[in-house]
Amino acid sequence: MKDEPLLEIERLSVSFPGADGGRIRAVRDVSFAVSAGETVAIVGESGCGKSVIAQAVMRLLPPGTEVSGSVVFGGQDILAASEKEMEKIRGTRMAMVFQNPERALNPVLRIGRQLTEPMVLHGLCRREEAEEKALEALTALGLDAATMRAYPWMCSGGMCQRVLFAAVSLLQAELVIADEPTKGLDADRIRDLEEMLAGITADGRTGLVLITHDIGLTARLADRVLVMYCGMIVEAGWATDVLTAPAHPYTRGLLGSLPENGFRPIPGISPALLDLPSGCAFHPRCGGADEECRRSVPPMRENGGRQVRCFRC
Amino acid sequence: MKHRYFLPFALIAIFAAMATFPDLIAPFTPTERFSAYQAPDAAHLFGTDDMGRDIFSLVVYAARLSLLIGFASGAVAIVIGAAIGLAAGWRTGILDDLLMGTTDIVLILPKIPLVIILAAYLTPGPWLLILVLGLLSWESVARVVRSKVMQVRSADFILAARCLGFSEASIILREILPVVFPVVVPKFVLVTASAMISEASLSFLGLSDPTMLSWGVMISDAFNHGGFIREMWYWWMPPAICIILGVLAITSLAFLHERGNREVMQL
Repeated sequence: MKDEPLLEIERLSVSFPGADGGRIRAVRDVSFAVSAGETVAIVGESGCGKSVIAQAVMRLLPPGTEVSGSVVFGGQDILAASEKEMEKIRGTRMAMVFQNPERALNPVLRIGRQLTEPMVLHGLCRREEAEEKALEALTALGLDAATMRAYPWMCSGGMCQRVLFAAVSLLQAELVIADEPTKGLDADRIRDLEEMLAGITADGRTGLVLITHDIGLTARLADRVLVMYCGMIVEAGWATDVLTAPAHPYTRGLLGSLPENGFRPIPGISPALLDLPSGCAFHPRCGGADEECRRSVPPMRENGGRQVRCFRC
Repeated sequence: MKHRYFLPFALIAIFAAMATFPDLIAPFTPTERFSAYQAPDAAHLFGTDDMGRDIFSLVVYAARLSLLIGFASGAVAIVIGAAIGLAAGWRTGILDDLLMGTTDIVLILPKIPLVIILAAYLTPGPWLLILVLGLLSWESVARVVRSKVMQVRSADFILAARCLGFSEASIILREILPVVFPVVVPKFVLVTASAMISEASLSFLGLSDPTMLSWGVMISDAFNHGGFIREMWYWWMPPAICIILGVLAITSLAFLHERGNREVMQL
């Protein structure tokens, strides 16, 4: 792909203060990069720290959160940027697609205003020009001028979703993060959404981070896949490789639990982040675990573009 | 749906006309004198008072101060209440505790007795009255605004606004204020109505500036200068009816607005 990565995350760790004085280690030692025009999917079950990575990149984590490592976006150190600088970056250079489009729009403001406001706020253009552009973006997504005057509660979920995509495309961000965009959608809307997501990277300059637990969507859209378990990346590589020939026992279990692959769930439950098992976090549920897996955290091993965090493979 | 708004709007329009162009409506100025204590006739619709002034003209001219005191106190209360409610609801923690503590203190102050004490020392003119009534009625506004802000502050669309690069100030002004606005409007109207009643009560008790011309002062004059003993109901009744109609028109607008909102919500 491209040589200069758009987003480079190096050894990122995030922890929150826990209820009883302990720390919830939501993300541990995560490294990856996203290039322009590339789609990187982060998959894993709920609570594995996928969304926390997105929030760390957007710098939306609540106060009291401990973040270490480095996040470099377009040559700028995001973790060291001031809130003022972040306000300039958010929206214009990185944008986010939310999982619930109806709730991501202000119910008391007309859609036209919600589309134009960010452009005017960032000083990209004047209001009249912004209105023209907004209408263009809506038309491109199959909506009309009446939508500009409508309130979000008058629109269906699918319309709201298109409006949100219009908002993201209008600001022409270089990095788009989609946080569980297919959650709770029916098949029709997932197809719609897939098309819109594919459209984001089509210009070759925008990178997409797709946070999801929809393996099918990942297979269709992603160039590369990161599989996360308990805040750590356990396997990373080209989507076609990882999804057809999974190496890590967790990835194998994840794919094996899909209906089309026999519906065999991984035994046990994923542990609480406040009380992680010693060594490899997956060892209590892993068939091939031995003394070494219980004792120490396996390092990330690279082999031909594929990274796996496992002693046994 | 629209006809429900007709009566209150018509009344407010009439009062507003009286307040803005009294000289066009009233046949005489408040300083012109005729013979005192006249009964109503064709020349003097409501007769004349103890100083021989035309009562109908006085009622028209008094609309200006009565409405001004009501609306201006309402505006003072809304501005203070909304600012404090926004700050307390947006920034939780110590600032919230401090602001809400202050609000609770203002809430438990017995208003009319306090105003009476203040008035006894200051004999307030219209501006002081506006300030005092406004400063004593923002607390309910602050509480309503705060709870609304707390309700929406963690909403997805606020997070979405942050992701679009909205600063804190623009989130409050552009995203939260429009949400808060529909609860503030009826509050403004209610505070305005209660300020009008407070002004009338204080003036009747003789605790405001007796030289100012308001409906409350007119009733007080009628009481103190023989209007009640002589059974000149046409002296004190018109200003009293004006106060009642004014308050009713203003509050019914607020209730209609609220009902309209509820109907929209139920759609």
